[in-house]
Amino acid sequence: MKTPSPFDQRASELGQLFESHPVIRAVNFHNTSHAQAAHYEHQLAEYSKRFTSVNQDELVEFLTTGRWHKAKPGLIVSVFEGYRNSFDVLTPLIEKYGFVGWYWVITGFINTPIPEQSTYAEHHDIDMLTHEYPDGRYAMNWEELRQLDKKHVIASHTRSHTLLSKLDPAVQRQEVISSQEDFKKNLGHTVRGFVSLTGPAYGENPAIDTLIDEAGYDLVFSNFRIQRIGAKSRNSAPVK
Amino acid sequence: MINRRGAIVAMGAAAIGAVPSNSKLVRLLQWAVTQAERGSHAAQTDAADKAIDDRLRQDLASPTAYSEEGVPVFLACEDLVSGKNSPKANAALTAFNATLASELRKTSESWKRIHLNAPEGDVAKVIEVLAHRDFDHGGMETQQ
Repeated sequence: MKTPSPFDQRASELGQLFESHPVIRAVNFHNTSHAQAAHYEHQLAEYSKRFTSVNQDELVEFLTTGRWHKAKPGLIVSVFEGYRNSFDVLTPLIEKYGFVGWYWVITGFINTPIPEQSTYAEHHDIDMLTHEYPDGRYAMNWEELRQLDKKHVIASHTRSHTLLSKLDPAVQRQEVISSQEDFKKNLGHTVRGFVSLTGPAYGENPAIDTLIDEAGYDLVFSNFRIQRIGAKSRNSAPVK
Repeated sequence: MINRRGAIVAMGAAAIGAVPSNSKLVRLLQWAVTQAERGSHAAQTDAADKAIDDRLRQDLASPTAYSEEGVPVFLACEDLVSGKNSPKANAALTAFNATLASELRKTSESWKRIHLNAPEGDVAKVIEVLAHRDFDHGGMETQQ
């Protein structure tokens, strides 16, 4: 009997996953330049006709019960890295079309001094195709994140956007736990969501799982999954 | 309209009815009908596969600019807290789940026909294609 290829095995696994678990839609944005604003507007306008917003509590309810209570299917609008143009360009459109943004923030990018942000981005797999800010500030600042925090979801995309599995334990710790500490210090509370670069799921790396638990994250996003793991730490965020 | 294989099946079936049932000719005709039916099914399958492949090629003609556009995806939801993700999920599953799984199977097969020796990571691209279709056409499910 012919052995299935890795492609076949993966396709089969994911087919079973989607067949046996509630599925939600998401759309992932990264560098949202001014030049593409009209395109984003068209995209979100079209989505708003067919889909509706998902906030953190609604997602948790869906994860817990498997049931969705709004008339339209939910759409998670994920905004990655913490680019300044996500605040300037995409956020007004997200709000105009009634969605909730899920901002996956690399806290080290936010903390980097403005003159060094472009170089930091280039060294941390943060795409810098557009260089549209003459003042050199390419990351959001904490004040902007605090504004977003009032209406949207802020979550961790690690501290410096590196492949966790390849790091020393001490650096892994910094990536997972220090990121949460950055949020606590600057937003006044911890965050519930976590996703790392390339998005391995909870359960794939026990050492990283332990750090996720210790940091108090509750929702782990990965390439094909959202997992509610239950915050296991005193650092856990209150339901918000 | 009837094709050549269909005509063979029809003629064979008619001929079988016109001769004694224990005849060698009947067995021969039955064999011929079976082969023709198999061929007809294979031809239908080939046509269906070609349609799926053509659609996939069309989808792949516009590559995604990951850094500059919103990329649609599907995410399966697991509740590891209650530990009852599968049984609970079963109660809440909809036609969308079955449709998505079926489309993933068919499109993955198509992907392999187009990309020989496709690596494991290509499955993500298949899902992306399905998500694009779903988002562009307002959802493949009837309910969620």
